[in-house]
Formats: sequence, structure tokens, C-alpha cells
Amino acid sequence: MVEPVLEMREVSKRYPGVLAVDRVSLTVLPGEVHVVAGENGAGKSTLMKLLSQVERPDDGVVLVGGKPVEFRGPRFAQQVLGVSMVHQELALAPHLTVAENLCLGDESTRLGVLSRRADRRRANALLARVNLTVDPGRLVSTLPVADRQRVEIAKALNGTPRVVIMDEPTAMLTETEIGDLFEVIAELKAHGIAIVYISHRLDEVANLADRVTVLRDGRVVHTLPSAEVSPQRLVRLMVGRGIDNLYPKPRVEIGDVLLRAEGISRSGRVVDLVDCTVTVRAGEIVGFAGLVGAGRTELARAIFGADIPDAGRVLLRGREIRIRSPRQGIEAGLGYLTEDRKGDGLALQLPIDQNVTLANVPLRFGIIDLRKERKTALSWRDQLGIKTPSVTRPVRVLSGGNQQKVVVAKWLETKSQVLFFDEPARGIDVGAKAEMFDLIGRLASEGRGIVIISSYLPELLNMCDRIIVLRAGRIAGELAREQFSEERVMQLATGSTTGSAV
Amino acid sequence: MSDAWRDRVRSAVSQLAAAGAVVVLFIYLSFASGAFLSANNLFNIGAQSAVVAIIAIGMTMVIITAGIDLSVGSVAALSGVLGAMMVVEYGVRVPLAIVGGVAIGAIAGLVNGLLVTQAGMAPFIATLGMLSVARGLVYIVTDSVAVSGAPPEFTLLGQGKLGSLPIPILALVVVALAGHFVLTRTKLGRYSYAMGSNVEAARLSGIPVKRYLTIVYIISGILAGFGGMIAASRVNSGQPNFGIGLELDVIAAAVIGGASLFGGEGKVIGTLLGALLIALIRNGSVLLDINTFYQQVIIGVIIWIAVFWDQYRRRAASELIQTSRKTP
Repeated sequence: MVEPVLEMREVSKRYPGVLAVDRVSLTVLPGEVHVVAGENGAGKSTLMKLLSQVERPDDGVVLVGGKPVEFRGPRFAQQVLGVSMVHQELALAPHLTVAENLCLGDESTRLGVLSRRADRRRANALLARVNLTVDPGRLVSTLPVADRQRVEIAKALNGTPRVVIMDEPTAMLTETEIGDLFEVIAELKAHGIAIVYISHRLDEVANLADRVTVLRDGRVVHTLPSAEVSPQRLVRLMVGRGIDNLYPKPRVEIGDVLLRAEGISRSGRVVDLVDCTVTVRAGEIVGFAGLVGAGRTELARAIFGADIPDAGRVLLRGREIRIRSPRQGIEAGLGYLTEDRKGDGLALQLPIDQNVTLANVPLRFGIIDLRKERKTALSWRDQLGIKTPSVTRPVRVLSGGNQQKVVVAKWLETKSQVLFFDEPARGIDVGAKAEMFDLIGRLASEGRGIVIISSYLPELLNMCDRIIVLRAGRIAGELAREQFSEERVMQLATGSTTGSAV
Repeated sequence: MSDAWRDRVRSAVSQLAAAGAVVVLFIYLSFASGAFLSANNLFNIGAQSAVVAIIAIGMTMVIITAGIDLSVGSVAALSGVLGAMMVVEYGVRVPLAIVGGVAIGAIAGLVNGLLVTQAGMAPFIATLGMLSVARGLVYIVTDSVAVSGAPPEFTLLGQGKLGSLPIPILALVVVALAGHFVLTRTKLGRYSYAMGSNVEAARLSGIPVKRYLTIVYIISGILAGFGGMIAASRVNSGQPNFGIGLELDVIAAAVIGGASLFGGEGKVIGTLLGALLIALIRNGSVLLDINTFYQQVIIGVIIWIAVFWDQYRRRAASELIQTSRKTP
């Protein structure tokens, strides 16, 4: 039996009012990828903070190399114990260079003066270990996200690394970048470094893991070898019950054309939209597929009026509407649920009821009708099943799935006829995901037109009636439901083969 | 309904803390000084704090939108001297001159608002420029000599009484009620909180962000102008040096009262309590014969406590959220 490099015995962490981690025992073997799975709030992040000594456990023992360790903070964990963490929101200083970031806190000096040359040499050695060839003199802020992540992994390899913790490392990556990341992980494994890997994505878990530990409500439900892992089993362990259908798509009679956007063009910072035409019918669910940066979000924003297109026109029920701001898009009957709920979808400090009515404040004689506002919010709470005892509490205390429902309520309150859902399932639990897709199906069956933007193809393949694939700001093709397959979508998205069904 | 009440109390913790501090100080001073509880002294405190409080109500709105208005002291001075000059040099009738002074404030606020929304400047920078420009204009038009010689009616706004109630206090009550109403029951108020909490979410919800932000800066300018006119009236002259550093008291009043410099939070009642607390400290120091320099130190320390408390509360809240997502 191999000696575990890291072990937790009955470790607990309590925050005011919650037991975040409850007597968790966990062993990590050298050179293994140990996936920690669980819903939001299951205690994964807290557990990782305990391992990397960002937080001090209230109870229990942590052993590294078979010896109990004392708690002395993250610097001690990395430099002495060799346990380091790659954060989900990358924790690099964007205004410093790659080399400066890699050596931060441990700079090489000569006679008390920083030695840039020595730092560069160290940086190059570290970058080589993560297969990244960038000039260490470049500013981190100029690197693409995937490269920044690689820099952060390199930083975690400083000193004598034994365990590297990665918190949802693929959340911001494209498929190819994910492949590259997995190669790096395989190489680290080959050097005997253990990876503790937090993930939401069930498909990843099966491919990558040697062992999987599932957490629920702060406790270890099960640790199982990857051979016994199946997505269904994982979901059941994570949620505590079986979910038969993640994508409950109802049968809906598809009606007349609701929205038609013709020849939308717009030069943008990330991608230039060129002559994009989109049609959405009543009751129809249309998917926008494409690689990151293909212009899916940009196209939705241009139609909605969040960004003003340079050319093109938008027709609703055959009548042209002038859209120069979100206000006009909303008045015409469009709604847009942003990808980043917290960043640009919700006013987090404001209470639920005020968020629900934000786009359509109920007025009486020019004065806000607080009673009506409350009633409106309560009625949406009941209709959409937003789990909260009161609608006067700040939106920020809700879970991701419930926050998403508040945004949905906001748009339904404006009587939106066409709703754009940008990555509707991002950052919400498996159970809440099924509920969200059920809700989307219901909205379509009530005769609304729905557009779903998603980077996760199974969502589109299961939910949509039609998929529009974008590539580099242009519409690369459309697929009807009978034509759906992952390969076809990817062919169009990457432009790899000619025989595409345009 | 008990949940709603708990939410309401939770969202008013800062205001309750400020109220507690005011009560404690009030009780202490009434024992420590015989002169404190006299009607005369109390009205004096009210009148003194009225100017700061009125301007601070505008500042509260700006801070709620996650902005700041550093120019209020200079703008108040500009309104005061130009209002006084209208009366003294151009024979404008007093009520009209008051309106004129307020209009000057509105114009300064408009410029601030346009700099922020159209030129895209950070509020700190835009209003820092206005602080300097307005003060410079004051010295240019007055040659740094006080504008005096106004007729007695000019003193009515600052020194007059309605029954036994000093008019500045009355003006403050009116402004406070109006401010509270605007913040809680109008679109302007609601949108101010929404913009301060998340400006992009507000825009994507169809709120004309630039228009509403500009209006907020205009209101701040109007109240600075109004405060400046009251101050000029109190001393029956336009003082070029009035209001130097006033923005600090004004911001302090708002922050002590629970307005968050990160935006999205703040209440008129809190700001009133903040202004009152500052006025009590000033008055108490005089009555108890404490060196006036200590006042500054004490007020500074209270600002630290208020901001520290605000941050502590935030951090505690966000940690709780991260870990208690499961509890609905």
C-alpha cells in the first residue's frame, strides 16, 4: 500500500450558523488525481481552504507525509509542506510580469537588490513544466485566460510541490484548452505530484479521476475509484436522490415568427459580427453554439440593444423595431439573462422584490407602489419556486439557482416575448439545473421564443429545436433537431470539414 | 411578516448604531454640562448641523450610486457669494437671489454629472476638479473679500424663526422628508440604489443610467447651493472662505449614518444621525471646554469606526453566504 501524501482525519470547520465541513476524512495518494465533487455549498471550497491553510480547521488532524502538521498559513503550506492551490478566480497580479508573479514573495536578490535575471531563469524553468512558452517579461494582464491559468499552475509548482489543488480549473476554458490542461495534469502526475481537483462537470470527472470523493452538506458521502464512476451515480450521490431527466423538454407546437434579426453586423473588442440573421418562432427553443469568442453573447447583446449594432435590423412579429438601448429592446418585448448573474444581472444588495421589479417598477401617480411590488414578487416567488421565506432579503443570500429565477422573474414581469438565456446553467447545482431547464421549457410552451447560449453541447442538443452555430462572428450554419449531433455542431463551429449541413 | 421585519432591522444596523451613539452622547452631555439641555443650545445645535445635514442628504444620494461629490464645500461657497452679490450689487430681491444661488449649485452639479456620465471621468476626479474650479471662481468674483451689506431680509433664511423653530431646522426637516421620499418611493431613488449596487445590471434592465446619474449630481449641487445660501444668510454675507473642508464633514455624516462608499446602501435618517453626532461632538467640546483640535481627532476616529464596522459587516455577511447557500 502506498503511503498517502496528504491525509485529513475527522476535520471540521464551523462558520457562524453553519457547519461547513463536518468530520471529513480524506486521503490523497502521490501521483493520483483525486476529484472532489459536490453541489454548491457542499463544502468543497471550504475543504480546499483548510488543505491550503487559508482557513484553520476547528477540529481534526491534517497529515502530510504521514506527520500531523501545524497551522501556519498558506505560505507555510506551499513552501514547507508543498501543498498549493490554483484558484478559480485566478489570483495573479495583472500589473506585474509573468516572472514577477511567479517569484512573488520569494524574489531572488543579489546584495539585497532584486535580480531580474535570476527571476527570469526560475520563471522559464517553471513555465516549461506546464508546457507554456511565453516571454516571462510580459505583463500578466496581456495574456489570455488559459495562459494565465497555466502561469498560476506554474506558480503552484514553486519549491517542492507534492499536492496541487485546482478549483474548477476548466470553468473558463474552451475544449482545446481543456485538452491542453489535462496533458499538463498528466505530466504532473507522472512526476508523482498529487492533484486534488474540484469539479462540477460530470464528464470531466470520469475521464480524469483516479478516485472521486463526493461531498454533500459538508460530509463525505462516498469515495470511489474511477472505474465505479458513472454520471448517474455521481448525480445521485451529490444530490441525494436520482434525477431521471436533466433536460425535460416539453413537446410544443411551434408557431409564427416572433423575432427576426437581419444582417446584424458590429465590430467589437473580442469579435466582429458579420451579417448575422436569426429567426425565432413562438414556442421554439433556439440554441446559439460556437467556440468561446465566436460571437454568441455578442450577437444576443446586439439584438437586445445592450450593444448597438453597426448595421442590420430587428423585427418583432414582422414589425421593425428601433433598438438603440436595452430600454427599447425591453419595451419591444425582449429579455436577456446575462451569463454573469452577479457581474451584470442582479443588484446583489437590493432585496428580491426590488430586483424582480427593476425593469418595470410599479408606479401609482408616479410613486412606487410598494404593496403592489411586494405582491408581484411574492407571486413570482410562488410561480417559479424561488426558495426564500421573505422577498425583502437581499438577493445575494440566495443560491445560484434561486438568483437565476429572480432574473427570470424580472423579465417575465416585463412581459418579454423572446428571452435570451446566456449560459443559464452556469454555476448552479445539478438539481437546480434540471429545474431551470424545466422552467425554460415551460416558458416556451407558453408561446414565448427562447434562445439558449451554451458552451456545453448536451444542453443545446437536448433542449433546442434548432441550433445556430457561430464561427468567428458569422453564422456558420443551422441544424434542425433531426440533424443534431455533437460532431456536426463541432464541424460547423471549427470549420473543420466541408460536408456541413448549411 | 416577522422575516420581513428581521430583514428590515438587519438592513438598518448602521443607522441603529449611529442612533445609539447619539443617545449615549446626548445623555452624557446632559449630565456633564448644565447648559447643554437648554432650548437655546439645542436649537443652536440644530441650526449648526442643518447646513451640513442638508448638503449631506445630497451626498448620500451620490454615495448610494457609488459616486462621491468632493465639490460641495466650494459649490456652497460659490452659491453663497454669488447669491449675496446678486442682492448687494445688482439689487435682486432676496427670494429670487436664493433661487439664483441654488441655481448656481444646480449648474455646478450638472457639470459634475456630465463629466461623470459623458466624459466618463471617475466621480472622485470630476468633482475634485470642480472643488478647485468653484473655489477659484469664488476668489475671482470676490477678490477674496467678503460680500456684505445685504438688507436685513437676507438674514431671514439663516437666522429667522417660525414661532420658536429656527428656519434652518425647518428647511432641514423639509429637505430630509423630501429626500427620504425620493429615495424610497420614486424611480430616481430606486434606480440610485440599483446603479450603486450594479450599474451594468441597471443598464441591462433598461434604466437610462446616464440620465439618472446626472440628475443625482444636480441634486447634490442644488443642496450644496441651498446649504451655502443658508450659511451666507446666517452671517449676513457671502464668505469666500466658507466651506473649506466642509465636504469631509458631509461625507463623514453620510458614512457614519451607514452610507457605503461601495454604493447601494445609505439612508436619509442615518445621514441625519451622522450629522447630529458630529454637531453634538462639536457642541460638547465647546461646553466641556475641550480643545477644539481634539474635535477633529474624535470625528476622524468615529469615521474609522463606522467604516471598519461597515467592512466587518460585509465580510461577515459574504462569508456566511458562501457557506450557508443551502439554507434558503
